[in-house]
Amino acid sequence: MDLRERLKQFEDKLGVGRRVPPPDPFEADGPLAPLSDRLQRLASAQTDMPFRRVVSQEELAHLLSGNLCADGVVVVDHFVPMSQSHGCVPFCDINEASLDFLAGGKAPPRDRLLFIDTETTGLAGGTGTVAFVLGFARIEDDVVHVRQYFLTSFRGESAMLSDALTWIHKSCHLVSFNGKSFDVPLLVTRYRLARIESPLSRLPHMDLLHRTRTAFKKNWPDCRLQTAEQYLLKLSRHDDMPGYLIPQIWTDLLRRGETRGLRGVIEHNRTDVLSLIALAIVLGRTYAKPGQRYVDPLGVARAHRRAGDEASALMHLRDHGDELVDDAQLELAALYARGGHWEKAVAIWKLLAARNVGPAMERLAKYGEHRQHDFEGALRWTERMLALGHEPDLCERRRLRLLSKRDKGQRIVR
Amino acid sequence: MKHAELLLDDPRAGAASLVLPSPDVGTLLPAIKLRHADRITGELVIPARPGSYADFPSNLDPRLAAALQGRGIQKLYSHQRAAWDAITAGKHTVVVTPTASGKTLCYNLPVLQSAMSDHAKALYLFPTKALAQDQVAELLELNNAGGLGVRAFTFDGDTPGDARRAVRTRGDIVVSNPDMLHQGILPHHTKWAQFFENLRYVVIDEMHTYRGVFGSHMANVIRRLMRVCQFYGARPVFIFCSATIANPAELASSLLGEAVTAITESGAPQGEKHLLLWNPPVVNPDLGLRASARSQTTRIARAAIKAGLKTIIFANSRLIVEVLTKYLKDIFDHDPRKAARVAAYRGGYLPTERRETEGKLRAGTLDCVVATNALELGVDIGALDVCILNGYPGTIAGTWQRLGRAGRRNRTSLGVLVATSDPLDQYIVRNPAFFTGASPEHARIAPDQLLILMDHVRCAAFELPFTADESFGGENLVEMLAHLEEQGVLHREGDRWHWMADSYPASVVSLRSISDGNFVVVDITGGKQEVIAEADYSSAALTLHEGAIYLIQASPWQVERLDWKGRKAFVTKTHADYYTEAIDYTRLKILDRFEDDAHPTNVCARGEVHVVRRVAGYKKIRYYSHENVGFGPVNLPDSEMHTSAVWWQVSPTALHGAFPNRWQALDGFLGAAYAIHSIAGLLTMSDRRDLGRAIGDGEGRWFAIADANGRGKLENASGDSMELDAAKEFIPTLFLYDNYPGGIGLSVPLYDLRNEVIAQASALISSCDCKFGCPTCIGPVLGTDESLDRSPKRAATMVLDLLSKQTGF
Repeated sequence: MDLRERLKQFEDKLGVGRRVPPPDPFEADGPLAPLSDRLQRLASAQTDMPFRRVVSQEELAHLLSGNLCADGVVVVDHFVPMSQSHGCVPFCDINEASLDFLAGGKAPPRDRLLFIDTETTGLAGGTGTVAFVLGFARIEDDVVHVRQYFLTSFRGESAMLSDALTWIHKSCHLVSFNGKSFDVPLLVTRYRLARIESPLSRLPHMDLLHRTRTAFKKNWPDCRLQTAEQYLLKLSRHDDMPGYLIPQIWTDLLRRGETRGLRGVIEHNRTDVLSLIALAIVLGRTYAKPGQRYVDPLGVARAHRRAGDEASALMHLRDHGDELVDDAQLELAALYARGGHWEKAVAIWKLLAARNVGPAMERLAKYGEHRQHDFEGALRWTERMLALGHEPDLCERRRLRLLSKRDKGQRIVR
Repeated sequence: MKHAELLLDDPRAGAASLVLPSPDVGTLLPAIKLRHADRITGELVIPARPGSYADFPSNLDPRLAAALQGRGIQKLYSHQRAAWDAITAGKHTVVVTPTASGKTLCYNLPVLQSAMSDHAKALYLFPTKALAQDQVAELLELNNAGGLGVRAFTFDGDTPGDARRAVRTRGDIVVSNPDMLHQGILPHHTKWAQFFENLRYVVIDEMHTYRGVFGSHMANVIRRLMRVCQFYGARPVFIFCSATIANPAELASSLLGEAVTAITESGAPQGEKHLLLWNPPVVNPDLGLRASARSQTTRIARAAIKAGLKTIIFANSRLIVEVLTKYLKDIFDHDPRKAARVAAYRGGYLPTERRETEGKLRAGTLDCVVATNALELGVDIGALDVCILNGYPGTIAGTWQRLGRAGRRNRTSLGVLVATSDPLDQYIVRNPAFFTGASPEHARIAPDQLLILMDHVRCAAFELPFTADESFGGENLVEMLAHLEEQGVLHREGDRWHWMADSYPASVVSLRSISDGNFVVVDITGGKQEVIAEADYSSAALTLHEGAIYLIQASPWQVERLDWKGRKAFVTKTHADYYTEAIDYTRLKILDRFEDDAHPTNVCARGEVHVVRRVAGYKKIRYYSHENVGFGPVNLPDSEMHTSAVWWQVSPTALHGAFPNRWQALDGFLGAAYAIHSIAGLLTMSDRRDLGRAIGDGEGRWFAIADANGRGKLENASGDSMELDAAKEFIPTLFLYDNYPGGIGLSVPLYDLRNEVIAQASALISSCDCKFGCPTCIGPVLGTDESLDRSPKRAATMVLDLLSKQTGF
């Protein structure tokens, strides 16, 4: 029996080779593709082998409205006037946008921002995943220049990566959506495998996914790029290629010469890259000015506080007053207290404590004990917490301590 | 490397023995020998041996020399020097010396030197995480002693995410395990580029653990490692360390695929060692029944502990560990106000509990530990005086490694091997020569086992594209790649094959045969929910079924509910005077016949089979009397696999002519299978669990098990009892199958040895002293066989005769 037969036998009888891959670790925000689609992909991978059409690279370049830049690589350039809008956001707003918070410091000149997004053979990560579309955008005077590389075969990868270094250079500031944990590590791996030096891993990087999550997670069903487009950019994509189908389209091209869907992939990627620009503008605004729609003020305030900017944190909470949820009220009170505005803090705590909010009662007890030395008052709050069953161990310890402090105080008075 | 072993002249040891003359084996040994002469079938004395030393190599870095001197080392043992010479000459090397001979210095010296002088990197692989952590502690100590500035880190599943980057880029020595290399490092090798570019040494300790399935996977992981190293232009030297086996150089070179130099002469000094082979006394000569090994082990341990000797007991199953611990705690730990003198140690305890026991052993505050092989590997517990093995561990290498736990430099130590009624145990204690000659054991691996090989071809293709001029293992690579291309996993472009699936192949390949998730044991006594232990998947069905008594530190817990899917067992504290033993059975169906050897009366064949295993119920066994006090049913899913097997059948006419009825024939087959299984394990040098045995009809319609009285019992496919005469055709088939999905290559040597297996099984039975059969030859026989004029032993001999006939009547 030859090797192939033995392998076949293993498969038929043991069911090996048909192992189900574990769920995608990166697709945390998005729903999984419908089962029927996934089954169909499985089936087509197994049954469509024999038929293979030969497509020339030139044909592909033409189809994608691009040029053949090297063996195996098509380059597509696209210029969008800055006066145009993406959804409801004009690109030219990028010039006035306040990006300092997103950049984690002083934002670079706009022409040094490099917006980046890839399309890959999968989400599994590691050395076995290839980026077959590499999309960039940058601001060039009054146009947005979108550059997309498309691999027509594996052998073009090295040339693509080399050529892309004319875009990725050491003064760039990257802007991406989930690029910190996905696109950039993936490309760093590809450069290493191709033995090409790249500055990629050392570049400063604004990952808009993190900032989107902080500000909107509470009020949106999920934080995918397309959700952000709907809510913030008022952009609706027509006939958009669903992301989960994209790897299969490239696989079909390589295996069978199937070109259906390729234009859709390029357009999908281009929309993604342009959305990064518009999203950066809106997110900049979100963190700079309070009161934007859908925003969770607590998330934004906490982000500012963590970055060391308590004034901005306070600004995002201050004007909301009673609409804030308890946690946000507590955050606001804490900010007041840190700034020495005790009466404002106490007012908030008392309002919350009236509704038996545990942490507010605790703050009042601490305030009474440590700042005012009002042990009786502190005891009342502590006993109320005990009665309600909040943190019994801690409260019991505090109660004993307060009792002894009070008695000591009374002795001194005597 | 235990710290004390590094010190050639340990001033503390000498001082302690002057001030406080501690108890010695020398007083216990003559007493035992005098009292139990009839139970000792052999005594082996390994005389004390002085050390053989060598100077530091002239090119040893002075800082390293100073670090050694700072720890009291003025000279090297001869084997340490030999290892240095071979390794620094760039030869792949395997070092095989006994437990506690300063093995680790053999590789630490060249590794540290090259890290200091050339910033070269090294990768250490240990089979378990615990060993890796010990090793780093040890390295750091030597490093600090000399201010060497070498950075050693562990990299395993416990390494926090933010520390991983530092390990990858700054570690001179990375200490990990094969599973982590396989799933975490190789598929992300670009992140380790800097490390691989400078990788000079790969150290693989405890090499003898890489046999069978695990070893076959390991050889493939090494193939992948070499491929990745080649990509980065590195060609590391491999250093293996191993316990004593017959073919260390052969195993090392089949793991590596290149020639390996062996260093086997130890230069370390050794105290006198005594080894007693102990056979429990016969209590029922008619049935050939001996007293249980458990009772003997308990008795010897009690004498040793009372004599003030630090004692370790090894048992072969977790259950026996718990039972022995209970017996000894009943003697020594009945006063709950005092600190415990006896502890159990086995896999399944939480790591913190194990660390605590290890600490107490090192500090000498425990008098006795009862352990499974979890303590056999190099976990540092200091040296003990007496080591008792309750049952033969299954291999000579394992026996020596466990015995190595007893024995300090200047003191006599004692090892006792207590035989159980298992045929292999009986064979071993009656043949002391096994322990005097060279090791008879050949560790085997089958790196080209197709299932395993294909798993790793997938992983390797994910790591780097394959090219047509490469090879990977002994099979045709291009054919394997073409197959993966058909599956849609790879894409061929010119002479390169690229990974093109959205999956991470290493995550579905486990290097250890079964890894379907651990079970946690949850204590729900009094409404709480607390995890108190873990159990591996393979043992869960046997030890955690509903109704089971689960023992932890000899305290009984009753399993109330088993959540099979959720991998949880809920237990409550109980006070049972019994423990439970699962009854499991196996059903086989022949799928394909690869080759056969047919004669008029019998046929022996090799082929592929479908195996279904089921736990049907359990027995309740009372402590001390070991009587059976009840049964219970178990309802758990079957486990299934396809594997290869060798089977024997007797022609219906010959069978009919030889036996008056089917019952007796069936008894004969059960007895013959028992003997054949023992011999086959011995001849193929395989672990007993690697081979399974079963009796059935070959079609999966019926199968036979031994009932509570050791008599044959027939059951149909759904597990219901069946009348023997109800079966139309009666062709009992005796199977020995390769106990791993797809087979690990045991059926071929077994088929080749088929005549010898039958001949030796006959000899085993005929040389046994019992009348009707006993656990030593054909398995336990109970009840009133004599009165029924039925001798299972004679029936088994008859079956073996029929199987050995090469011509007709």
